[in-house]
Amino acid sequence: MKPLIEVQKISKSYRMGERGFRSLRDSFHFWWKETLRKSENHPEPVSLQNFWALKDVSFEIREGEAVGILGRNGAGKSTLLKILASLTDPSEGQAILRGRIASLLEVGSGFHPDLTGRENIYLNGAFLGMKKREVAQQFDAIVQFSENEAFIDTPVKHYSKGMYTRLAFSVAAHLNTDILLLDEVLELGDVAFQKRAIDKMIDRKKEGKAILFVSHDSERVQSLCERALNLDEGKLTFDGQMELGMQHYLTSLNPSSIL
Amino acid sequence: MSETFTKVIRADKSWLSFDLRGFVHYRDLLFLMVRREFVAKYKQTLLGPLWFIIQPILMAIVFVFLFSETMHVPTDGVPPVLFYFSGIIIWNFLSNSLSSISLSMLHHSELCKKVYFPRLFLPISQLFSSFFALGIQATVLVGLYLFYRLTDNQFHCSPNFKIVFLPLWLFQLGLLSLGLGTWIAGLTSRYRDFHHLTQLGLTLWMYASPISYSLRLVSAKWKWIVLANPASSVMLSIRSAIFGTEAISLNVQMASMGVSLIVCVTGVLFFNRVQRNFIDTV
Repeated sequence: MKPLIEVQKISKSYRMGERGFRSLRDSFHFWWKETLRKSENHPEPVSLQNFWALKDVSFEIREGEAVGILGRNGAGKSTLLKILASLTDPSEGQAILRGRIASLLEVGSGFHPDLTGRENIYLNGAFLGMKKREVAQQFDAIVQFSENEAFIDTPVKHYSKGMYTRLAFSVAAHLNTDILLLDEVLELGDVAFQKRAIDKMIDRKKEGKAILFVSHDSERVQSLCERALNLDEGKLTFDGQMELGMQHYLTSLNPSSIL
Repeated sequence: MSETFTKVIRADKSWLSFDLRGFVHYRDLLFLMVRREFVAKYKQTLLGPLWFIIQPILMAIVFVFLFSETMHVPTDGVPPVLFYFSGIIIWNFLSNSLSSISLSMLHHSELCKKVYFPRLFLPISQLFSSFFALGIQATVLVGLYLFYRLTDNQFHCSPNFKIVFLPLWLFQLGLLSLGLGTWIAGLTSRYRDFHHLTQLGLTLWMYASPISYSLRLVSAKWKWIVLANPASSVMLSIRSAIFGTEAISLNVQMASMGVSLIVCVTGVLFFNRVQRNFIDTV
């Protein structure tokens, strides 16, 4: 059986100065400065050099695997998930995804504040590539799991953060996808919901789904994922058992306090 | 696991690579997005969809007072209300769909940062929802037309066989606003200047379109400006088909259709290129 996710030497670079451009005037200003710099043979300033958010990252994920991505802020965790979710193209390399993908990268993905919970479930399902019929089949289960039964015909702009989180997670977790990409999505739910959410994902894992999970809550990561991928400054520094990965991560956070 | 859902994400995609499978796979989403655009416009309003006809009717009344009653500008023998209203709804379609398409990517940047879907659905859903608004306004035009027909004995404007080309002209309007809109959307995602330029351009373009005047009133020296404008060719053709006013030559019509097609194809290609890394620069 081929792996569900095959990532082959993926890199993503940002040109550091480029991200701030807002108007044509800035661009001309920049172009003029660059021309002057080149004519006078000054070296390229550090702020304009390529910044590699990810560099040569390769791994495979098979059916029924839940993988936690560990790393500090800015290590490239979110960039990796964005590339796998097709939100942005890699600069180099390729990834092969065999199956339907549901990504939950931030709470409320694809929710429209003026529409009701019911309307948003269908809309969000459609954003995850589902047919209306497929969403309808899971509708009751989604509502029940989200514990929003009483408010399902209320516009979601009146929802609390927790209600929002529960609904968004329920939609993504119940639909028939093969690959789940989750980026710090449970932080806003309460502890009871987090526990149920993890249990739900463990069930999906047993059904053969592949899960990629980013969270700063190490306890949650460890309860769901048996494998860790460690990222540091865009490079893959560890790929293996969760306990070893967690040790590796904690060591990198604070090298002086090795026990 | 099925091979039909296998997806390869690569760095080196060409300008021509479209996610055609995605279009088919996500077709239910397109329907929901069109509906969302249309419904969101009149959620929390008392008058609801009536807003789609209040604005053009008020504009037509203002034009009647200003141009017909005050300045006595002739309207090719068509009752002024019909003449202005027809021009206004065609122009409104173009101007509203163009501005909403040109902002569609920017307004949905938060969404684009979170979920994947074929990004071309953003402009396309705006286009469809503008066509719905035009449909509502067109029924008002038909109502006004019947009113004149039944109450005015001297009324002599009648549609002719050319009305069968109406879908073609509407199609051309769609091409034009989708094409220009996607060009501007792509450029605005990098440079906000183009947003201001669009507002200015639309105002100038409105005056170069025969909304409130007939082509006969334009001096021969400046007629080319009006004729070079693809929007006027559509406007004049539609008026000539529904009211029997003077038609414009086939050559001008063909040329304006050609321009609209080129604008649309290049605009969509450009948009498709920009959207791939759009969330990195927004």
